[in-house]
Formats: sequence, C-alpha cells, structure tokens
Amino acid sequence: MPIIPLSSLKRGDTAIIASVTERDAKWNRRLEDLGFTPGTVVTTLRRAPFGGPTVYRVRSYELSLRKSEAACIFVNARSADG
Amino acid sequence: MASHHHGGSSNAVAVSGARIALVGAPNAGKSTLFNQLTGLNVKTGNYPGVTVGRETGFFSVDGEQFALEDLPGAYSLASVSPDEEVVRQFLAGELDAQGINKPQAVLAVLDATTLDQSLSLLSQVFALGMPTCVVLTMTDELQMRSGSIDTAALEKALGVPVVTSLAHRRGGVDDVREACAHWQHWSTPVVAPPTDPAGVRQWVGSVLNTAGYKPADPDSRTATIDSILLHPVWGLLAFIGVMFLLFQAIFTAATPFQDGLEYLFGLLGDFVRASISIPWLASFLADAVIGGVGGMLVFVPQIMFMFLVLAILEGSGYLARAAFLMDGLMAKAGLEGRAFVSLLSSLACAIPGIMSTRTMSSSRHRLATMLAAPLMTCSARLPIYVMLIGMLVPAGTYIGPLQVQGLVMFALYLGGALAAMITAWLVTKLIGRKANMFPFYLEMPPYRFPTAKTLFIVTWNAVAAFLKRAGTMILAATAVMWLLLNISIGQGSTDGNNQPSLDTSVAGSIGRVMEPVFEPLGYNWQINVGILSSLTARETFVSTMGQIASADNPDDPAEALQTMTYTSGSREGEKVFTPATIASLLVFFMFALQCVATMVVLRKESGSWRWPALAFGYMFALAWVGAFITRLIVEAVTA
Repeated sequence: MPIIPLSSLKRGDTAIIASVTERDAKWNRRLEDLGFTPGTVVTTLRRAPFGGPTVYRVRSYELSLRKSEAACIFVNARSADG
Repeated sequence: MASHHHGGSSNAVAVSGARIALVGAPNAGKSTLFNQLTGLNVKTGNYPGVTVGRETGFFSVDGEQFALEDLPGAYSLASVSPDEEVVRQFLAGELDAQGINKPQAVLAVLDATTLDQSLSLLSQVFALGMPTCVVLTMTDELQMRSGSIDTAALEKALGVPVVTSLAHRRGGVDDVREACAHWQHWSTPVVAPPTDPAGVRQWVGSVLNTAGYKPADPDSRTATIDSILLHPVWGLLAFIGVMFLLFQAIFTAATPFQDGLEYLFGLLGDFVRASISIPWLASFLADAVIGGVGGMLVFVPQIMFMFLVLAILEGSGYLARAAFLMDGLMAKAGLEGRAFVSLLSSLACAIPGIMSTRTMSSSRHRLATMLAAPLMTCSARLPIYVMLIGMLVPAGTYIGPLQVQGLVMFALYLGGALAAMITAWLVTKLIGRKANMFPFYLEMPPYRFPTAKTLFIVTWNAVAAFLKRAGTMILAATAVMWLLLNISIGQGSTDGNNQPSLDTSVAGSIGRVMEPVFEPLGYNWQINVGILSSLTARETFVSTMGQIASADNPDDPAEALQTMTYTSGSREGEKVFTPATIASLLVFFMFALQCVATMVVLRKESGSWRWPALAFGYMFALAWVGAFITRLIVEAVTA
C-alpha cells in the first residue's frame, strides 16, 4: 500500500489517513478538529473549477479543502471497499 | 454592574433565571434554535477589542428570564484563531472585568447526523466543568437517512440531560425551554472524558456504542443536487443564474418600494415646508432631518431584499456551494470563496458587505475583504454617476450598437471591482507575514429548507441595525452638514433671508480652505462643498450641487451646473464642468471612501479606528491620483 498525498487521490476514491505533516501547532490542531486524524476514512467527492478546492467526506460530513492543505495529508492508497 | 446598554428588561445583567451559553458546530442548527427560543428579543454587539460579533437573546420560562449567549459556531473549543480565543475567555470567565459575565450553564447543540464528529466538541465542553445540557438536533434527518440513536441510552452514557429538538417544527423548542427552567439540576458528567486525541476518540466510540448509534447514510438528495450545482459547467451556469437573481432582488424588485418611499418623503418634506412658518426650522426639518434620514431610508428595501435572499441561500446550504465554486478565482486575489458573496453584496451597500465577512475563519481574509468592499460600486454612487454621465455624454450617443452612457457606467463598475481585487491582494500581501497560518476549509452542509421564522428574524435584525444607524449617526451627520451650510460667518446671521447665502456660510469657507487640495483636479469651492457633504451619504453630492448651483431649480441640477463658471483663480470665467472636470469627478467618486457610515461600521467590525483611517487615506490618495491623471488625459484628448 503506497502512501500518497490526499490531493492526488482520484475522484470517488476512498482511503485511510496515515499521517498529517507537522506544519504549525495551530494549523495541525484545526485539521485534527475537523476530523483529519490518522485512521479516519476519507472519500474524494468532487473538485471545484479554476483550480479551486476539493470536497471530501470525512467521518459523517462533507468538507472542502484547498490543494495546499490536502497535499499535507497522507493516505494509504487502496481501492474503495466500503 | 455593567453599563445600561438597552432600555427595558432585556439587559444581560438583569436576568432572574440564568445566563446560558449556546455552543455547537457550524450547521448543527444552533442559529435556528437560538432564533426560535429568543425571537426578536436579541441584542447584538461585539466582544471588546476584537472582530467577533456577539449575540445575546432573551426568553422566559415560568416567569424566569434567561439570557442566551449565541457563541460563534466552532468545531473545537481550542483557541486557534483570535476569534476562538474570545470564546474561550468568555467561557472561562476572563471577560468578567469587561462586564461580560461568565455563563452559569452550557447548552451544547449536537447534530445527530454528525454525532461522531460533534462528540469531540462535547468532550471539550465537559472539560469546562459547567452544568451542561445536550440538545440533539436533526434526529428526523438521521431517521430519514436510515440511522438511529437511543436518546435515553445516550443520556446515560454522557451523564447529562439530553433533549431532542426539531427547531423547524412548531413547538420543536418547547422541550429545550422546559429543560432550561431546571438548569440547576443539569449535571456535570460523573466521569470527565479524556483530553488527549486518542483518548477522546476512544470515549466517542464507547459513547456511540452505548447509545446504539447507527450512523446516517450519505444524503442521497444532497448528492443528487450537488451533482448538478457543483458540476464544472452546469454548476457555474446555475451560479450565474443565482447571482443574477440576487441582483434582480436588489435592483429591480426593490425599486418600486424605493420609489414609493422617495415619493412619501418628498410629500412629507413639502408638507413640513408649507406648514412650519419659521424658515430655519422648516429648512432644518425638511432638508436635514427628512431629506438626510429619508435619503438613507430609501435604501431599506434594497437591504431587506438582499438580506432575505442571502438568508435563503445561507439557510438552504447554497452559499457554501457558491463559495466553493468561486474559491479558485478569489484565491488569485489572495481572498477566499466567501469573499465573493461579500463583495457582491457591496454592490448594494458596503455596510452589509462588510458585515457579511463575519462568516470567514481567517482574520487576514476578513480584513482584506472588508477593506476591498468600499471600492465596489455601491448604489449610493449611482445617482452621482447618472448625473455626471448625463452631463458628459449626450443621451442616445452610440459607438456601433453600444450606447455610450451605459458603456461609461459599465467601465465605472469594472474599475471599482478591479480596484477592490487589487486592494485585497495588496492587503493580504502586507499583513500576510504577521497573520497566523490557518487552513482554509468550508463545510458543505446537506441541503435544508430554511424556516420562515429564521428568514424573518435574520432580515429584520439587519434592517433594524441599519435603521438604528440612520436614526443616530446619519441624522447627526446631516444635522452638522445643515448647520455648516446655513450658519453664516462674517456678515452676521441670515437676517430674515430665506435663502442663506452659501458664499458666506461655514461650508463655503471650508470649501475655500479645501481649494489647494482640489484645485489641480479642476474643482471649484462649490464642488468642494459637495464633496464634503457627500461624506454623510454619497448621493448627497447631487442634491448639494443642485442647491449650490441654482436655488430656484433644484430639480434639475445638471442643467444649472452646465453653465457654472469659475469665479476666481487662473481659470476665472471658464466653464467648470468641462469633460475633463466631469471625468475626473467620476473617477474621484469611483475610488474615494466618501461615506462616514461605512467608516463607522469598519471601525465596529475591525475593532479599531486604525483600519477605517487607513482605508480613508488610501482610497483618497487613489481617488486623487486617479482623478488627476484622468483630467490630464481628457484635457489632452479634448483640447
């Protein structure tokens, strides 16, 4: 199972978060509060036009992140199996 | 005791029941619950020194009055941003010295469809050690999406009372109201949950397990709607359609109401002029009070329609989608998607535009948007543009199929919008280093129907805030302006003269003092007085110029202005309103922050006079330089 950034996950793909890059205590704390913690299942739902953010389903809600944030979240790439 | 802000019983200090804090994640149904419980009995303000809006509502149960403090929606109580720091301080009682007392109990609003997420927030609420009651919302939606929960078991697992509330249904908040009456019996949890991330996850898991929680399926209705509204092609088309609708609401639908109000105030002014025999009093009431405040009140329909449409978009969940679609474009100016909606609102008036930035999570984005908003072409600039363009370009002039008057108007809108984007980009670059790193995130809530009551309350609160401002600040400003225009210096007072001479008025003297500043732009002292008066409300420029140019023809100021000539200086005898002067005035008004009300709101929202002062200076410089260059170019072309 290769570990890849969340931003390179294809639309419709599901993966499990492996790690989040340490950037800044507050920045990391906020992503953690939003539900992006190791072990959490994430699904890529759709991308915005003009290089905008991407919607993810994390835990039980839908949230969009910009590419710069998603690139710091690493996931175990594997095919969706629910 | 804190100072008495508000007359009557609705004072935060005077509650007989308890002061309760309302805590919950965004989109958990917190605002709906707040509105249903407290209705119009709400006091709005700011926390001291910061950009965080504060809303306190009041309600009573069994004759006891309760104050409900609506805290900003939060995914966590950890203070990551300055805004959240205030919430933390408030809950910890650290604001007591500023007259904001620590709440006695907490109502925690949890969305049943996202319980695994919102329980971690609850664990932090528990850590406060205050009497707590959980309000579980969206239980109907949970069922519809084939999830389930045993509320009684959840109550046992948590160790605090749990009430369910379907705030959008009639009587849906009765249980919450009833629970508040017994707030003394609310418990703090027997076993405090852990605080380390892994421990919290484990605690959440065990609570959900005990409560027999079956999570909701992904909302298929939302997925279907999103497949169209977030589609790269159809989604953008729908977005353009929605924005067109917003424009229609602001400019077209509100127009008949606006015309009606204008007509009524006209009648009222005439009536006052005819029935009061003391000339100065009649002039004060008709021109300053009715003319000034009435001139602001005609914007009420626009503000009402705009907030209504925005409330529908927000409540339904579309606003988050619009911000999502626009984020990529706005990021190029250093802004975020939500700024698009704020800047769009500023086309009606910068004040609601600035107020709408409250939803932004990053204070850097928020400040940049607030400073950009006054450059968007607001509706108060329209009367000035209409008058000046009418003098510059004869009606019915065409370049090919394009009408030139409309083309100039379009250029002015475009110029304002471009200046706004460039300003925002500059601000984010300048304050970027100091501002804290903050991830951009945007929750996409399921589509929901906003309740009529919430729509009404949100719209009413916006209109009430505006009315309060028009009744105080604007009235004071127009009164001062009237005094300056009507008090003579030098040759004594107006000795029974109905038409006080502008030449000898204080305003006239000020206009002359301003001459060195505006002489290079080609403005005479009369125009300077107009510019000065436009600070109260931009459109005042039109009526002031009319008053100045022709006492007997105020209905057609443009006509009277066409023939005005310079009475002194190097241009003596030449016409004032040459194409060069008019074009330079248009550019001046496109950029200048000629609006005291906007500056007051900017002060309120940013927490210091520094930002409005900076904005005024910056926009004045931009306006002056722009107007000067425009004058040079037009002079060269028309010479």
